[in-house]
Amino acid sequence: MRSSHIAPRWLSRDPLGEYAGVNLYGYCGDDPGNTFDPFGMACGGSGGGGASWGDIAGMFAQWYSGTAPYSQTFGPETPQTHDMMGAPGVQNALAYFNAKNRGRGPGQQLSVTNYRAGFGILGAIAAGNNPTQQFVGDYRLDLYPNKDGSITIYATNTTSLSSWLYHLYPSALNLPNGFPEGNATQVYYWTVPNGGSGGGIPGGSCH
Amino acid sequence: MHMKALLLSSFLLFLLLFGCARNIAQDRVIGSYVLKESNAADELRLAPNGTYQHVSKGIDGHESTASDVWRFETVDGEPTVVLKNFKCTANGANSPGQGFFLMRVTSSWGRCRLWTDADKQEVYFEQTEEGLKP
Repeated sequence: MRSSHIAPRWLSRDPLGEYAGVNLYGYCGDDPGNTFDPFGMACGGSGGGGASWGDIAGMFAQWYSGTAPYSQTFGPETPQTHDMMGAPGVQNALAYFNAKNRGRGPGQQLSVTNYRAGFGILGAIAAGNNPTQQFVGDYRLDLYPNKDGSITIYATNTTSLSSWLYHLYPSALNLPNGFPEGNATQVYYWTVPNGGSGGGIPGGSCH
Repeated sequence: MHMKALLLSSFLLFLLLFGCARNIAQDRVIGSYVLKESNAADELRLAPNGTYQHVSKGIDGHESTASDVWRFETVDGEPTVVLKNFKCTANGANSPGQGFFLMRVTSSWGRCRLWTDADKQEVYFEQTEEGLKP
């Protein structure tokens, strides 16, 4: 799949399908000057559907100063959650969920919880200019089936000194919430239709 | 000064190479584990026949026992223990007591660890006959 920076649109059809938006050839909200989407799975930058670096700088400042809430929740319409929909590990987790629930119809599917979505150095490269993904790093995915066959995904991250330093810093020395650089949790959630549609990520593209 | 830096890097390299192991066989994870959690007692036993027993005791002294099946799987290239219908008492974990609950497995100095939350350092430590060895 390639993108054209001359005409602000994808040259091939969006792999995420109609669920990501009606314009299957759209690219970053037709605003390639302020956003970019190298893999077609997310949209980073200072505009578009995702969070801005300013938003994330604010979250970082809260964590750094010890004023971050114990837990923050971001719903499906928030730019932060929009950023997380295409995060490394989400597609793998959906594929795993589908494999575990093969042969089970809507209403009979079982949840998959505590799926560790590892980031690592390669994840940091894949996250590219996506501010929320760069902020989150490692995180946990919980996938809950709904009666209509859709799946609600919760991505949970705890920002701590240890996670910030790719676990090279002993977690035992992490500080509790309320202290500068103390633990602070963020939860991002959204719903994908029809069993994840074979592992696809809806809404992860930026139109 | 250079010698000090060299010694320190050699030590870190040694820890990296030998302190933790990722190639863990299924047989290796069979055993008894205790959750490192100060407010509650929580023990998980993985049996060779594919069943587990989970005994947890809350701060109110109430003890509960549950059992079901477990499997060893490789998920995203990482050794993982998958428990069915498991309810974890760790703060960081979100386990509804139904479905599949995953815990990454690492081995440190010969002892397995089952991670419920890496960010919060919530982990089941493998127990030995002599007792807990963190």
